[in-house]
Amino acid sequence: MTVQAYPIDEAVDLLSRIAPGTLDELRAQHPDAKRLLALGETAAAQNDDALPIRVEAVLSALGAAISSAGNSQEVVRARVKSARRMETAAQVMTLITSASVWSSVAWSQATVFKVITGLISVAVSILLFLAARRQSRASGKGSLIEAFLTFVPMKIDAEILHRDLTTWAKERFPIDGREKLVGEANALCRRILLGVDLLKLDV
Amino acid sequence: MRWLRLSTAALIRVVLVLATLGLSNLRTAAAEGICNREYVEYYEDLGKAVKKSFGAIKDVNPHRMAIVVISDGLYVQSNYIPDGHEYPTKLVLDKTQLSLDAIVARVIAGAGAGGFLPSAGEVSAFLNGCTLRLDEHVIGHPRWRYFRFAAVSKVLLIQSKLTARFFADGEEERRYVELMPSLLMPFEQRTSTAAFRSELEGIRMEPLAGVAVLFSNKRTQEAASKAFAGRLSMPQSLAELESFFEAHKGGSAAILGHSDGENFVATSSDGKELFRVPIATLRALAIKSATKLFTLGCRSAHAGGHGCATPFNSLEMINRLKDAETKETLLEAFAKLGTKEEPFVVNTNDVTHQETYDEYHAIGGGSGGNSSRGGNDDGGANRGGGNNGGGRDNIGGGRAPSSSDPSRGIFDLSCIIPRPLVSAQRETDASVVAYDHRVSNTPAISSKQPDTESKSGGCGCSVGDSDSTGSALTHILLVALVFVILRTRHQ
Repeated sequence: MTVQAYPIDEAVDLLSRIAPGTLDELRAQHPDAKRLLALGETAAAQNDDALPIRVEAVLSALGAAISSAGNSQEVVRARVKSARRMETAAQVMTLITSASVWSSVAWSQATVFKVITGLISVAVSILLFLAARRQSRASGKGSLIEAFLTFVPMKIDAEILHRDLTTWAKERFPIDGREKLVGEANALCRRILLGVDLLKLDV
Repeated sequence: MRWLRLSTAALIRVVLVLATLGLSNLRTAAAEGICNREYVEYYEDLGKAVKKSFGAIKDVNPHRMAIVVISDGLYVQSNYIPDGHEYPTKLVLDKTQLSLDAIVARVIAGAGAGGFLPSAGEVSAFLNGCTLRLDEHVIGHPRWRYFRFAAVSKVLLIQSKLTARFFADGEEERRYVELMPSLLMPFEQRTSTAAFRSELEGIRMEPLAGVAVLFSNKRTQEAASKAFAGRLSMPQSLAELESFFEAHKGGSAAILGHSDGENFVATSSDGKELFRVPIATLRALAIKSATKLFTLGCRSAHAGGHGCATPFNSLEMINRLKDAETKETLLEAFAKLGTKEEPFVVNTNDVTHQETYDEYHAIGGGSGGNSSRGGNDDGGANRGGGNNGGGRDNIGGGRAPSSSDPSRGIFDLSCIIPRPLVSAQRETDASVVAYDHRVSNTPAISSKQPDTESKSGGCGCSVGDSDSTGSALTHILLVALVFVILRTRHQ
């Protein structure tokens, strides 16, 4: 019986990003599936078999995504923390600058002192600007936090799909409609890739 | 007359024996001769011509094989010398129903192998390193419809000197001839090869005004937006695709995506179909809006336009398209869209021709006449009988091969076809009728016409291996029959 071959292109792409070694191993194990395991999409008949290879590829991608999800959470947390540190630093510097401005007005000090005061105030403005940008990216719409929050349900989805696909593979792929899980896993990989891009995670 | 009163069991035995005899005779009716002498009797001229043609082939393939249509079957010759023989194998196959693999197995085994044939792996290795000189009348003929040539490394057509390419497509096999190593045209349109080539060479390639990508792959979409910045469209519905056409009216555009041969099919990343659009509709829209359209799907050439002969990778196709649009002529651009391994296919009725639009509009919608290629989806079959025959490889198409032209080299092989093909299977297919007609017009240059009936024993060596086996079997069965009848008499 011929079953529809669900795509695995996004799973292969995700693997190439987060676990290139695993992808190389897959390619070495299945030299005949070179086209299937290549980056991009293959324009071909949609009813070819190689179902076990497809399942193996999406399982590897989901597995790699689940294990690296923890790392991504750490990266996001570190970024939020650094934004807060920048803000604190800017506030301290603002305090110093305003004190300098007050003293220069009161005792009209040397020109060098005035220049330094001015430079510090410019630096404070830059720092505040950067911190504000980082903050808005971290909390606004389409932001770091929003993406971070979407990662949580994605991780849960990945775990469920990984479990179901593993069970199906253990039962030697009975044709009972579960083949569409491959497609669902591929679509999830695409969502993860979009999230990774949005977060600019160097995974 | 008591002996005639046979028991039921005896009667059954007699009927069984008679049935076996009948089957045995049927089997031997499809005769095959195998010979490892220097030449097969009656086919010496043919053997010499084939040998000479093998010498003219310059490529790295170690094996050579020729398959030529003879009076009632096929003549096969190879340069392969089986163990224990001095000369390569020759086969004379009468009304053969053998597959190409079975023929190659016999070529490798040689005469006197006693039924020990090589493994499928050996056959496939032979084909993988083989240059085949093929009589093009074998292709498409119902009698040899079982032949699959996709596994052969290189196929040179005897009559037209063209290189043929074959690609498996499910149960079918798609057949093409080379215009360039990376550019093919359908086998059926081979009569217009030279004219078509120069026609494509004469058409200027314009940069693309718009590119529509139906692939859902994220990396592909990113690569396309980089390569075709400001010109890229990613339609998610039929309506969006239609507005893409509207936007590029009068310009040139390309569509990349999955094609099932009749439609372009857009799917999402979970494999669900978003929409499909018939290629014929796209072509009609292109003609209506005077858009020069490139349809880049893996089976889009099946609908009469152009496309890849094999599956292809979306990222590679984007790079190829980017290169192709910088080429000066349509021939170069099409050639750039394929590679030697993944060639591009163009039909003679391709709508991307500027001339086609001009003709289409000039004749008010593409109807009738020799120049009515626009809007006509019949695979360009009407071009072979067109008006520019002088500039084309005007072979086939019902014309009998000439026997008097010595410059034709391997072409001479077809002159040795000694007698009209007897339609033993009473085929009524139009192509068979045309084929018979062709052969009956063939001048018989050899007075040594082989006698079909006695051909199986004609070689004098081991030609007729299967026949002799068959006749021995017949003798044994006859003796058995007599024995059974005698026994039943005694009962």
